[in-house]
Amino acid sequence: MGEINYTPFIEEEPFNQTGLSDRFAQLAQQGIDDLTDTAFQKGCLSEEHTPSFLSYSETVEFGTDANLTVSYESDWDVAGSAQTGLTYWNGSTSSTPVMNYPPNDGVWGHIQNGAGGNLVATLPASLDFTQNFNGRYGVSAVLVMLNVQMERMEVYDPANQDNPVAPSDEPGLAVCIQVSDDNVNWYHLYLGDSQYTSGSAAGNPPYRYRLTERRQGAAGVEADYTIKIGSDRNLPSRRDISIRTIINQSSISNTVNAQNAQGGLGSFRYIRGAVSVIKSGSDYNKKVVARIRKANLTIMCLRANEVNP
Amino acid sequence: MSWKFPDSNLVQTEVVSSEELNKGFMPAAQEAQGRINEHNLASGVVPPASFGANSFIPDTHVESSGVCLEYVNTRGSGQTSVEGGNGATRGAWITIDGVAGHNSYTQSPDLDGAVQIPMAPFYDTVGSKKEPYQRPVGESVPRPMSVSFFVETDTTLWIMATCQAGDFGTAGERFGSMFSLRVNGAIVTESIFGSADVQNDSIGYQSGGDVLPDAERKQASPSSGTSSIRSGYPVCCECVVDVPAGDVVVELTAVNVISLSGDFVDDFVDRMAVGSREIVILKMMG
Repeated sequence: MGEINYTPFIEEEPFNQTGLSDRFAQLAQQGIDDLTDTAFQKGCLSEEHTPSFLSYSETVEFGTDANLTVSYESDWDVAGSAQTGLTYWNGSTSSTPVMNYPPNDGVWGHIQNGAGGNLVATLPASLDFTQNFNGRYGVSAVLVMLNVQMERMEVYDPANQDNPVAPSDEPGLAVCIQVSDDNVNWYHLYLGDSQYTSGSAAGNPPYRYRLTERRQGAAGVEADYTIKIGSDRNLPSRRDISIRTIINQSSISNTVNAQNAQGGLGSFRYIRGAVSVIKSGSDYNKKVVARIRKANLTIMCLRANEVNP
Repeated sequence: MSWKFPDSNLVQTEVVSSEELNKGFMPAAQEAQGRINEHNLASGVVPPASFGANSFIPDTHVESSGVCLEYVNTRGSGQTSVEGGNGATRGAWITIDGVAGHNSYTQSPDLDGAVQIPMAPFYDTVGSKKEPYQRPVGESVPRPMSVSFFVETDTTLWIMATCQAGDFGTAGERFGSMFSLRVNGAIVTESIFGSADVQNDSIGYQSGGDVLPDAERKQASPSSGTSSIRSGYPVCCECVVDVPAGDVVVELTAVNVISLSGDFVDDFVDRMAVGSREIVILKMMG
């Protein structure tokens, strides 16, 4: 009831308890206590009155060159003939690229600022999209925007005391968005699956497609013509990697557990930008280092309705 | 007009009459019939936005059905299969992996998941080319990155399209591409991404030499110079655009510089591909 239907006293009507209570009830209880939108002038609510379509937002930004001190390494264990570090093709023991099955599809790490900080956005509380509107704090989905400025790639030879070496194939940097509920165990956002992976991958199929993954090779005009620092080990490659995605219930239900079965996460609280280093072809047994100059991560918890096209 | 109550106060020793009582109550009642305005509401009656605060904004006063923001689900329901779940027709996520029934390497572009971009010398919708298809097993139709929906009133759209792209040539030469968003048939100029424009971009070379003018033919960054490994490059097109009431079509489009070089476009059907990708559309209804 959004209206106040006041019944005027008529002449000679007694002012008894019932008559007065009725009028107060009409005014206060039925009216003021229960106003609906029809009681308001259109457009009367100012920005101080209206709810935001954002339930929460946060930006984490690494904007200084101190980030360049951070070394994102994919290394090679010469004695053990195994990949170590942040290696995209983490199952490779030869020039054939091999990535293990999820959840061990590549080794991914934090984007860091060189001062102990990680590029992680933290929600005020763990978010479970299966809850009702209030139980999920009115959040229907989380819009994530990640920007990373790649700086360069460097190549070294672990079989020769990590001396710089010219790359024989193009190294690259892979970036993606991951989620976690404990800030320790991180999960990919997958879309669908496939029977395929290259080579003899370890783990349980299927292979899954990392929805937010983007890759940037290091070679190109800049790497070819820019004056290199040191030697050919250094491939300047200043490029921007921008990723936008929506995290909703489907995204979370498509995370996988240690057995590569869907439903790895029920809720999540942390969102990060993650990186992995791509060693290609005959450089599988090299140490490849990636440098990132700047990065920022913005999350926006949307109080929105999902609609189909 | 704000409700000012009461119009007249009762005073001691005054005889209360029905007329006096009605005079006191009626203005308030009448003013509340749809004319309550901002002056009647205390500032902060709905908890204010506190961006960046360490808590979710309380939702006590928010009706889930009354939120003036919608986001368009471009993935389809379930997302259980590679193409983006049941009903996903917008061009989403596929692979080229050589598995029977999938796109194969021989159908280059050799990218981890791809659909081709037509080589016509104008912007065309990503994924609209007939082959290779965006496929899971059995996929047999193109899946263009095109989203169609209806808005009931003038609406502001915030559109974000990102993807993994690669330009691939047959003789070690690769040519850059430009991407853009097209809304209701019009290219949104501020969304243009890339450096393939032969008029605008002076960076580039052709076959490692400087003998040909950049503006006529070149290998445009960012993917030029790649050899056997084709990581490709990320693309991000964004815009905020107002649309009138009615049907709306949002497309991610691309054009490859090779199609502008004067060569026969039929010779270059495998030059351009897009892999993992996503379109985010927020309908910001004010």
